[in-house]
Amino acid sequence: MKRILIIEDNPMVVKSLQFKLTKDGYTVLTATDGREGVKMLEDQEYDLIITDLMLPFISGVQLIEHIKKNRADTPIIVLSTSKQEDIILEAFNLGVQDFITKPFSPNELSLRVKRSLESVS
Amino acid sequence: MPELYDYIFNEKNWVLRFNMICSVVFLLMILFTVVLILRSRIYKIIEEKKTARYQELLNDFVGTYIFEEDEDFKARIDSFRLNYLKGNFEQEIAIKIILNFAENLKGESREKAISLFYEWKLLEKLRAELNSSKWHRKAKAIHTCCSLQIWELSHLIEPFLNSSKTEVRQQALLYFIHRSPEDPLNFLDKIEFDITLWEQIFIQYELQNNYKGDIPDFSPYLKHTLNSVKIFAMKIIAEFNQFENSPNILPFIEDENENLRQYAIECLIELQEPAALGLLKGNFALETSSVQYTIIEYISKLGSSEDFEDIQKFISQCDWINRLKYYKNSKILTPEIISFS
Repeated sequence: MKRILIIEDNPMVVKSLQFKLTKDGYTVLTATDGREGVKMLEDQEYDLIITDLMLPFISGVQLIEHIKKNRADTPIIVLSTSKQEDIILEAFNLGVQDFITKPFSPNELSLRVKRSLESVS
Repeated sequence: MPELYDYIFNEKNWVLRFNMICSVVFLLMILFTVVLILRSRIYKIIEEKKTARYQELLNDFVGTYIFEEDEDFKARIDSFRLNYLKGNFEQEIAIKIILNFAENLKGESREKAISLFYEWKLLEKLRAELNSSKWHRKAKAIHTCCSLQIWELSHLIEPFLNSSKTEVRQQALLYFIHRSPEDPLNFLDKIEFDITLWEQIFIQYELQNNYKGDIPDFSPYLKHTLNSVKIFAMKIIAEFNQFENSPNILPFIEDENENLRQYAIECLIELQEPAALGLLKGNFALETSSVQYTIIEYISKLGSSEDFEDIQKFISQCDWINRLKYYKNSKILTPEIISFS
């Protein structure tokens, strides 16, 4: 079963993502801030990471940099508001696979997750 | 304790007795305060735990309802309502959870979250909140109505457009901007008190960033009875570059209200409408200092060096700020004219 790590500070968004992805058959683990996210990444392997860009303690961009340095092959999907254009561009420059805007459609999320996982397998 | 009592009250020296009584009273007060703080802290922890437990329960139910497509939920929804949504506290949390799901999801999932709001008959709760005497409850209820697009309570929200409480009024403005997709500002007709600068910025921000419908013609609001609404209409006409409305703005440069004249000139500058040039030059000597400043700006942007020369004879009577602006701007313009001739 594929393992997905969600790094997001809004518990309601985490809950929604968790519901949808668990239903789709993935093992979903969650972190509510950048620091916790880094710790979880050091402890275990993940097939996909979904992260917000505005996170407490460590920003999303710093987190992406960290992931790309240590686990360059793990695909990343950014989940953020469409108003953070400059940060989104920076994230794409760092090598994120995909981007989902908040509010998000769970069905769209499913498709994007599936596509990102297929692209690396 | 009886010894302490005897010790205090058998003391002959009244100063010592008074000091001892004060010490005991202060000691009791400190003890009372510590107990009070501890009690409120424990109460808060219990309340937070209760809220968290309830939120978890609701989260699970709403999440399952939204994402489980196969199950028949009708009976479960009714049973949940009857068992868990009896009191105000439970209903408030239910509204909060539904609101959060609806704000973070879009499409069919969002619709399902909103449908749950109706199934649980939470509309009545919102109605009660709107009739509440507490302003923060009203503001929260209006925000919920706006986010969940509950338009059937608009008749209850309409009076809040003229609320004396800023937060309530702002939420009502926001509600009505999203209420009418063809004419997002039609609520301005119901406004009886001037809209503040902050409210103008707030409405403009909403129109530019969150409003999803077509941008309408803003010229009807130039006929509003309130000057603040007329000024706001001019600002957004300029902001949305509705050049076709410049003939409707021209009459304002002769209005008796100084603010209206000034904003009208600024709007015409933004729209790059040179038709007011003759009239503005003619009125220059009679204008107030701030309007004269804007006229100089208008000539700099849309006029020529000849226009500067036309008002030169009045400049010596202007204040030093306008004189400085005149000399600075007329010098900028002159080399351009020379280079073109």
